[in-house]
Amino acid sequence: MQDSTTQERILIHDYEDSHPYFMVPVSQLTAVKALLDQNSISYNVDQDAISLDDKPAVTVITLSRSVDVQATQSLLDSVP
Amino acid sequence: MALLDEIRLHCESALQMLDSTHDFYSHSKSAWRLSQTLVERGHAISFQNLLTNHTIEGEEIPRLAQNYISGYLATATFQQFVSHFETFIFGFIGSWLNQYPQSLAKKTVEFNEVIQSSDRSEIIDKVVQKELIDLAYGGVRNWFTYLEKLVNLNAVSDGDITTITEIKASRDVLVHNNGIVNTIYQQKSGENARFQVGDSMEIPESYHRSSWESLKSTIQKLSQAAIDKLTD
Repeated sequence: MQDSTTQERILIHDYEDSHPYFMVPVSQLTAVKALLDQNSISYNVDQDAISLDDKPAVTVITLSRSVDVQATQSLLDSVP
Repeated sequence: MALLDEIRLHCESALQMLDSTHDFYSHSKSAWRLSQTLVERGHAISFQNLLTNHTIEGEEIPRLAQNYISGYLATATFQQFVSHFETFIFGFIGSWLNQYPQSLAKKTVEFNEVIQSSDRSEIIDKVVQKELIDLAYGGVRNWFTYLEKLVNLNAVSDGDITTITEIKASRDVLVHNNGIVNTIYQQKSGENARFQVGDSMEIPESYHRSSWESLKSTIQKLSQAAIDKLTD
């Protein structure tokens, strides 16, 4: 899945000592949440969104530590 | 100041502090998210702590940001929420006791304290402060039992008390047990316990928010019931 504001791939950041997360434009939030829900992936959506240089706002989805990050990334990549 | 005004002030002050603390949490999180966004978009950023000489840059920033947001920031502001609630509840009880000290009639005070006091209200206040210190050690459920016996408001449900008890127990784990869940947490939280002994206490955003909401709601319920009682 591409970030509609940057045309870049939506990438999950997975650091050893924190919850994996990725950024998503607010405009794509519904679609992304639906995808995660359909695949029973546990996540939390930030309560806030930020906008930089008047570009569309983005928010952050944090994944549960138990989530298979690679599989989730593949899932995101599988969607145009 | 009249008791009614004091209750209103305790309520307004507590709600304002809870909102301010939540704003700090939200804005600080946004600032860290901004740093993550900037790095993701290819900006070169570095932060240098001139006192520790530690510099973070590049990918280190989003990693630390994620830790800070769900770790320090969430737990520190959560602890502040509980602190604001405690200030409210003890302010409320203290004001009520100062106005109606009859329930403290059997308390004793050293004659030296009487001599040192300039008037009756100062003596009463000293006794009230001691009472509040004793009450503070008694635990959340005792606070509500004491309050109910004192004021008879019937404003807060057992479910509310159980929720607040678990919130306070979580805070105590963070403050007194280095964030590691212990049996005291389990005992106090009962069926509301979110973690097992030995787990690391976490404050996920949904819980952070619901705790803030529960504390605010309880403050509002108690305050409104007291105001209604005093204006009847």
